[in-house]
Amino acid sequence: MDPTNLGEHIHHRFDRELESLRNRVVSMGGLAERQVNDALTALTEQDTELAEYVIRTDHRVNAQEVSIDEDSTYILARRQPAAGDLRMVMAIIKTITDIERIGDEAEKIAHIAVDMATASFPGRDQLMQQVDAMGQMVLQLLRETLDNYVRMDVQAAVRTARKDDDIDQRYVSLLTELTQHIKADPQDTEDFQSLIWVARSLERIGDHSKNICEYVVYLVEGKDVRHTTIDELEQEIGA
Amino acid sequence: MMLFKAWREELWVIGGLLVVLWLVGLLTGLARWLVPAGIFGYLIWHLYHLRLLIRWLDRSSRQLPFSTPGIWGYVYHRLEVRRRKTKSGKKQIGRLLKEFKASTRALPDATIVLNRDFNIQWINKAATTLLGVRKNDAGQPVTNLIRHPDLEHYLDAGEFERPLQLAPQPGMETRLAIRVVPYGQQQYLLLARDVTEQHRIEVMRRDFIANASHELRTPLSVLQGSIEQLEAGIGSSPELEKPLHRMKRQSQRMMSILQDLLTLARLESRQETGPLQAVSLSGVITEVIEEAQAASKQRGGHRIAVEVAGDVRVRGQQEDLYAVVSNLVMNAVRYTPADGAITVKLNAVEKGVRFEVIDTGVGILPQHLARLTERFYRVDVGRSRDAGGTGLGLSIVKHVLERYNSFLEISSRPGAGSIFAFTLPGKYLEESSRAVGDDSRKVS
Repeated sequence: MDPTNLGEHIHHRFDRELESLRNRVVSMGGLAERQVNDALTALTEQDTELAEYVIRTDHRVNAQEVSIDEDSTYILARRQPAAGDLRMVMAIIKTITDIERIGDEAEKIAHIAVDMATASFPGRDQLMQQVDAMGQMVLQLLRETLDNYVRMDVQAAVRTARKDDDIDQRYVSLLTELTQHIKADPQDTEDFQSLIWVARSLERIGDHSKNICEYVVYLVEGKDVRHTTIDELEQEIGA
Repeated sequence: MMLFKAWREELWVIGGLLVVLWLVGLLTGLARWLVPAGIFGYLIWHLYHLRLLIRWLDRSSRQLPFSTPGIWGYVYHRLEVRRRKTKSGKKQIGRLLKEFKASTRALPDATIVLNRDFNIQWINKAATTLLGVRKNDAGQPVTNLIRHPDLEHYLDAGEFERPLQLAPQPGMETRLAIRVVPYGQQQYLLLARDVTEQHRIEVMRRDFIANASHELRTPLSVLQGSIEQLEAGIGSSPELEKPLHRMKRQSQRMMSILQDLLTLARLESRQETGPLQAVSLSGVITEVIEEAQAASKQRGGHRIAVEVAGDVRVRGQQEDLYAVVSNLVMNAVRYTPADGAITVKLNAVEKGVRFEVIDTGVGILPQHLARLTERFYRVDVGRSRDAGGTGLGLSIVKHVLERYNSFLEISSRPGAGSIFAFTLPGKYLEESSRAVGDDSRKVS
């Protein structure tokens, strides 16, 4: 057999393995996306059944993390990839950790949704609307993040990462408002506190999404852009 | 004719050349040299044209010397004719393709061409607006861009008879009906249609029914309470006994219709089952049979036989399974004349566990079978009311079974009786009962 041909064959299979691994990461991301959405809907629409469904299915996201992690380790050990391929595997391992955490945050929100399904307190509708608005922003960010990951679009990843700032701002203003509510109606402190936890979870999901955006930059450009500001990031990639 | 003329010309050239050379050779005495030289020259001429032809075929020269006399001129002419023909043919195909693509692009439904691995090959404009897929996403698996667990399952399962309804993007109102059509050499066409409006109307209808039933329940229970009070004080005016009894019966009927409507609304609002618990299906059947026997006594009595293979435990929701078994068995009691036979069977089969209710009742005409699970569908309006059902039982059965990946099978011979059956898939069996199923499979 032609030795070069053999080499190509192995190489081709390796590419396919990497490709399927990447697709599974996206599929896992899709699941987490769905979980966040369902948890948020359960909270705002007081749908206990849906919230319990989210809690029950969180293990699927975890199971995917474990299985993708295992296969990544296998690829590292067996194929010993270099350069771009190595970065790809590293980015996958990091990405799934963040996606798994996103799933956990969704589960937390779902737990709160169960607790708060029957709660009534002053300003509930208005507060829920605000939480929902923040949630929609986070969902949008998460969706764009996964789109960027699929398309390996560095420019868009930077643009998306920038949106996390808006969410952080939103978080701060929601926090201020909830604190005022606690002062005004101290007897309902527990419910307001729950909402603070929800806002906190949403903010964390935004951060995890931003991390994934940074991995996209790392993967494509080969530059570590963690712990840098967005402006530095833009300079780095010459955007 | 052209070919003949070309050959004639060619022969004249050869002949003329040889005769002239020969004559000149005779006059000069060099015939021995001149004739071979002429033939050699003729050969060179052919080789020269062969070279022209090859260069033309290699596309390094564009024009062919058409005016060349003889056979070469003919060859050049024919080649040119053919070239023009293919050119216009290609143009036509190109135009057709362009038109086809333009029309597909303009389709209001999102259209994506997928290869056999469900990777995107081509998309139209609506796919970008409706699904957010872009032109340069070609080559990506479609599930990477339309990330939805349901779509993944749908494509994996490969059963495309029924369209898939999904909300493509979390947090968005948009609802799509997705169809996948296999075509050509293992290619697929994915079509997505915006059904947001239909979905909204559907939800509104569902909510309306649920709310209306809910609102009607409260005044009705007040009425029921009052009727009971009146009944207690009936001794003073015995002429009221009959109307009061009728009122009581009808209000009970209304209450059970409302209850069923609420159950249906609950079943419709979510496709998945709730948390699954271990439920003894045989226990449920025993419970229902007791009720059925009581109901049967009021109607003159039936021979009710139960064939249940051991204690079959499944994973499900008690109230769902109870509703299914009870509706099917009570229907048999209602529509089987007194002294008829009703057999309730529960067997382990290859795919899971099969439940059957066999009666010797009135039977159902074939034209009614398909519509039987519709809400309030009545085969015989007068008789059904008397029989006392709500008209919603089989709808409930259908919806519950859908949640358990099962469906209602009905076979019936008018006058002879009917069989209502369903098979609960193996994945809902509890471990211990699955062993029972395996044993019986070996026997059969």
